[in-house]
Amino acid sequence: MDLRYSPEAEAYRTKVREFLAANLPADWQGLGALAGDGAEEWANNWRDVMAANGFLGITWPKEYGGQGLTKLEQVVLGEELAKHRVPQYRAVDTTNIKMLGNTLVKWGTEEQKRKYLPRILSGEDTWVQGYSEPEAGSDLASVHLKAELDGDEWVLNGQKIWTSRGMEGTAIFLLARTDNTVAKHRGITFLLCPIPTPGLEVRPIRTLTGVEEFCEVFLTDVRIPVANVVGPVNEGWKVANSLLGLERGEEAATNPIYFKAELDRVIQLARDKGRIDDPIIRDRLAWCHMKVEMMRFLGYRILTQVLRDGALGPEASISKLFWSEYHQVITDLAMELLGPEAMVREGRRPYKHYRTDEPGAANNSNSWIDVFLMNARSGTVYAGTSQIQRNILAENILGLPKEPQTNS
Amino acid sequence: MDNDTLDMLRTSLRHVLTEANTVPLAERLAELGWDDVVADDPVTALHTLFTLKGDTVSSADAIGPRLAAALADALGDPQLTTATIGLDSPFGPSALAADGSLIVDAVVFTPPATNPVVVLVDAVHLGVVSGNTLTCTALTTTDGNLAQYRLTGNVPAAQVQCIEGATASIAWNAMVTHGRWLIACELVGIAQHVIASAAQYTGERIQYGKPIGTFQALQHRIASAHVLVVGAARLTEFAGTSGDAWSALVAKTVAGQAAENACTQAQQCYGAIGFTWEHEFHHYLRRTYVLDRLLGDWRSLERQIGNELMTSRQVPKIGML
Amino acid sequence: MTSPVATPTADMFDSPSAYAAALQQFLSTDERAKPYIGYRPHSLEDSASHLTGLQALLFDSGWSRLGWPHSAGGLGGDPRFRAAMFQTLWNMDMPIPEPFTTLEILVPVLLVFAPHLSDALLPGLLRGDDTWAQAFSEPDAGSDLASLRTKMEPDGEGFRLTGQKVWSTFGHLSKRSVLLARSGGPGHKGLTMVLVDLDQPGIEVRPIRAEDGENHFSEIFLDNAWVPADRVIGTLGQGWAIAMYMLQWERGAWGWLQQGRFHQRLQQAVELGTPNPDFAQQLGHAYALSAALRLTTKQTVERLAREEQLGPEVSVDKLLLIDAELATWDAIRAYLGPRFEADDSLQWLRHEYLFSRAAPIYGGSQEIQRTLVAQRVLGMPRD
Repeated sequence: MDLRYSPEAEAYRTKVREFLAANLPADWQGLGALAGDGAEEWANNWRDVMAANGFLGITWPKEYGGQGLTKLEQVVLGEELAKHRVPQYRAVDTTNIKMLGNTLVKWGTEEQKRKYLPRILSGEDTWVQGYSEPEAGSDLASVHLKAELDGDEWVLNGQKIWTSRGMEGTAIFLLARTDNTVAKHRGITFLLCPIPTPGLEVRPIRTLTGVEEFCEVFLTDVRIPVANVVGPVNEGWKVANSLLGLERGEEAATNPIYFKAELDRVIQLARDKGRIDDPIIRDRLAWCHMKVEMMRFLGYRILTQVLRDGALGPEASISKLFWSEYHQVITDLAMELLGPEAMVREGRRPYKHYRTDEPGAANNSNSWIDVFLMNARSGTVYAGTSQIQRNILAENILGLPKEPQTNS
Repeated sequence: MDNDTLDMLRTSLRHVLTEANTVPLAERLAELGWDDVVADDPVTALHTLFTLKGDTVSSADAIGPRLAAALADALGDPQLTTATIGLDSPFGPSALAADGSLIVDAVVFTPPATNPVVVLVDAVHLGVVSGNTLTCTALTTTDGNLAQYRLTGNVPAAQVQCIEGATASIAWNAMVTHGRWLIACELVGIAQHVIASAAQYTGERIQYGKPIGTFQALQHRIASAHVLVVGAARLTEFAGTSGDAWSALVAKTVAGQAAENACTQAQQCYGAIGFTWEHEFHHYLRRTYVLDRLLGDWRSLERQIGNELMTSRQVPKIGML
Repeated sequence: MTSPVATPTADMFDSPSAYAAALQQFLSTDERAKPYIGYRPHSLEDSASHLTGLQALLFDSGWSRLGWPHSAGGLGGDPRFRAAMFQTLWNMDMPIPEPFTTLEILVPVLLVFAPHLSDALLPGLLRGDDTWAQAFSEPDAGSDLASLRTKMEPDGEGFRLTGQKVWSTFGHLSKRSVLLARSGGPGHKGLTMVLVDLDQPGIEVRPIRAEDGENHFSEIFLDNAWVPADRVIGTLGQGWAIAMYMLQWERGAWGWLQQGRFHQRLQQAVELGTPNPDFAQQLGHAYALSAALRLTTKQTVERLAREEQLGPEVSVDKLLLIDAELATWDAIRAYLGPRFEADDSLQWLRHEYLFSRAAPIYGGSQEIQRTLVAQRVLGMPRD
C-alpha cells in the first residue's frame, strides 16, 4: 500500500484547490450551513459552475465533453470537494452522471455517447434509475418489467419502484426482462427511455420523514426505439453491475471525510450539551472515532486495489456493511445527546436523504432526526441489505457454503 | 376482572382509541363508564388501556390526566386532578427567581386552558400556576401525530403556589413512577404490534422464490427482539401490581430498549417499504422515540440503575414466588 | 448447637416465600450449614465431594424433599418450593450442589413417564447417595439431535447399547445416565430414552477438560452395554417426545435457578467493587436483563406448578437467560477490573465467567432457540 499519489494527481489537486479558492464564497461554511431550498438552489448553480469549468465527468473522453483524466484524478477531485464541504453536483446527478454517464462511457454505442453524454454534463438531460420493482428488491435479478420487440421498437409493460428523485427525471434507464426462457440473470436488457413518454407515469412516494424522495414508475405499452439498448441485448445484468468498481473507489476516499466531519459535529454536540466529560459518552465517541479511522484505512486499501488492479478486493465487500452499520450507531448517539430536544423538530432539514448530512450543518434537531430516521436507518437496506452483504462476505470472500436458494 | 369482561373492555377501548374524533379521550372514556372500571381494578384497566394505546399508536392524550391524578393523589389535593403537568422542555428548565416569580418552560400534551399547571423547579420545589398566566405554543414534533405544546411565562410571585420539601419530592416521584409504568405499557404494546406485523410481513413478501421469513437472518432478528419484549412485558405487569418505584424504573428501562430494538429489527425486515409514509410502521418508530424520552430514556435509566446498585451495594430482587 | 427444627411439610407454609424464610432461618442457625456459607470450590471434583454433605443435610432435615411428591419420597408441595430453595441458597451465598441442576431436568420426566423409577430412586438421588448424568449429544448429533446413532437392540430381558455420547455434564462423576438411543428406524420416531448404569464393563467414561480447566463434561463409550427392560423411560419410540417434554423443565426451572445466581453474583460484585460511573450502564443493563429473566422464569415455574403444558414459548426463557448470563459476567468483569483478572481469591468467579461464554451453546444453541421462537411462537414461515 503506497499512500502517496502520483505527481500528476497532486498537480491536479492544486488545480482543484485554485478553482475552489476562486469560486467559493469567502465565508463558505459548507452546504449544510444553507437552509432547505437555499441548499437545493446553491447545489443546482454550483453544478453549472463545475460544468463550465470542466469538473464534471472528468474521466470521460474529451470528445464527449469530459477531460480524459484517470480514476485517480476523480478520487482527488472527490477528496478536495469533500474537504471543502462542497457537493460534486446535484443530488440527482448521482444517478445521472455517476451511474448512467459512466455506464454509457463503458457500454454505449458511439451514437449514444455523442448524443447523451454532453447533454448529461450540461444538465439538459437528467437521468433517473429504474432497477427495483415491487417483487424485485434484494432479489433484483427477478425483474419482471417486460420488453418485447415489435418491429423496430421495444414495447414495455410493468412497474419500477424506489426511483430516487424520479420527479426530476427527463429520462429513465431501466432493467427489463427480454428473455424469460433462460436463467434470470441472463434475460435482462438495459434500456433507455425518455420522460415524458406516452404510457409512462411517475408517482412520488412519501418517505417516513415526509419528503418525496422516491417514485414509482408505471409503464403501459411504452414504445422506445431499438437503438435505446445499452450493451448487448440480454446482458443488462452485466452492464448494470459493471459500475461497482468505479463507485467503490471514489467512495473509499470520500466516505472517511464525510463521516469524520459528521463525527466532529457530534463531538461539538456533546460539548454544547455539557456531556463531553461524561465517561460513557466519551467512550462511545472514542469508539466512533476508531471506526472512522478504520474506515479511512480500509478506504486506502480499496483505493489502492482499484487503482492498481482495476478490480475490487475483499475489503470492498466489507465497506458498505461497515459504514452503514456504523452510521446507525453514531446517529443514535447524536439523538441521545439531543435528549428531550429529539422530540421536537427545530431548524433546517437536510438536503440529502442518504448518508451524512452536509458538512457545516448546524446541530439542530431536524438535522439529526432526519438523518437518524431516514439516512442512517435506510443505509442497511438500500444498495444491498446487510443480510445480502453478509451473504456475499461469507460465501464469496470467506468461502462458507452457499445458503440453499430456490428459483435462481 | 374476568376474561370476558376484559375482552369486552379491549374491544370498546380499541374502538375509542382508533375512531376519528375531536372529543378529548377523557370525555369519550367517561361515556364508557371508565371511572368505575378504573376504580374497580385500576391495574388491569390502565394496563389494558395503555398497551392498546401502543398497539393502535393512538395519539389521544391518555397520559396527561393520569399524571395529574397521580400527583393530586400523592399530595392529597383533589383540585389538582384537573391540572396539567409540565414535563422537561428541550428549551430550558423552569426556575424560581429571587423575587419569588416563576419562570416557566415546560412541555405538555394538551393546552391547559385555565386549569392549574404544575412544573418541577428542582428536586424539592414544585410550582403551581394557572394555565391562563402562560403562553401555549404548539410544537412541530418528531412524532408528528402526538400533539405537544410548549408552555412559557414569567408568573409573578403572588400568582405562584409553591410546594416545597419532602412533600414536593415524594409527590413528584410518585407521579414519575406511575407515569413510567404507563409509558412502559404503551411501549410494550408498540413492540408487540411491530413484531407481530413484521413476522406476518416476512411470510407474505417473496424474494428468491420464497417468503423472506424463511431466511434465518430475519427469523433470528425477529425472535431475539421478541425475547426482550417478553421480558419487558413481565416487568411491566409486575410494576403495575407492585406500584413501587424501583420496578417501574426497571420496567420502563427494558420496555424502552425492547421497543426500540423491535422497531430496528422490524424495519430491516420490511426493507424499503418500512421507510415510506405509506406503510403504518413509521408511526410506531417515531412514537417509540418520543415515548422513550418521556420520564427518562432507557440508556439514562440503565445508568441510574447501575449507579443505584453500586452506591447502595444492594441488588434488589423483583418478585418472589 | 443445633436448634431443633421440626421436619417441614408443605402445609406448614402459606407460600413458597414463607418456606424460603423458614429455610433461611434454619440455614443461618444450624451449625452443620456453616461450612457451606461462602464456600468457594478449588475444583469441580472438590466441590462435588464436599457438597454431598450439604445435600445430605438438606435431605435429612427435610428441606430438599419439599416440592416432590410423597410417592417418590418427597414431602409434597408444588415445584415452586424447589425454586424457593435454590433462591434461598443463593441468598445465603451457599453453593447449589450440581446434582440438583441435573435432577431438576431429569426427575420431572421420570415422575410422568417412569414413576416406578422415580419412586425407587429419587430419595437416593436427592440425598446425594446416587448421581445421574444426561447423555443425549453425539459427535455427529449436536443441534441436529434427531440424527443420533447410538444403537439399542433387544437382548433377553433388556437391551444392548453400542455407540458414543459426548458433552455429558459430570458424566465421570455419575453412577447412572439418562440416555437417548436409537431403538428403531431413522428420525425422531426411532428414539428411546433409558436409564443406564455407568459402572459396568461395556461402558467407558472419559472426562473432557473445558476452557476453564475443569472437567465439566464427559465422553461415554458404549460397547454392548446392558440396560434392563424396566429402565426404559416411557415406551419404545417415545424418546423424542420425552426429550421435548424435558426441555420445558430445562428452560423454565433451570432459568429460575440461574437468575438467582446472576443476582447473587451481581450482589457480590457491588460488595467488592468501588463505585464508578463508567460502569453504571453496563451494570444497569445486566441487572435489568436478570430482572427480566427472573420475572419471565417466575411465570414459567408457576405454570409448571399448576401442571400446565408448556409449549415452544419456553425457548424465550432460555434466550433471555443467554442474554442475561453474558451481560452479567461482562459487567462484573468490567466493574471489578484488574482485581477480577488477578485476585487469587476470585478464581472461582473467573471460572464462572469462562463458563458463561457457553451460555449460547449449552442446552440447545441460541440459533436453534431463535429458529424455534420465530417459527413456532411468532408463526414465521418454515423453509
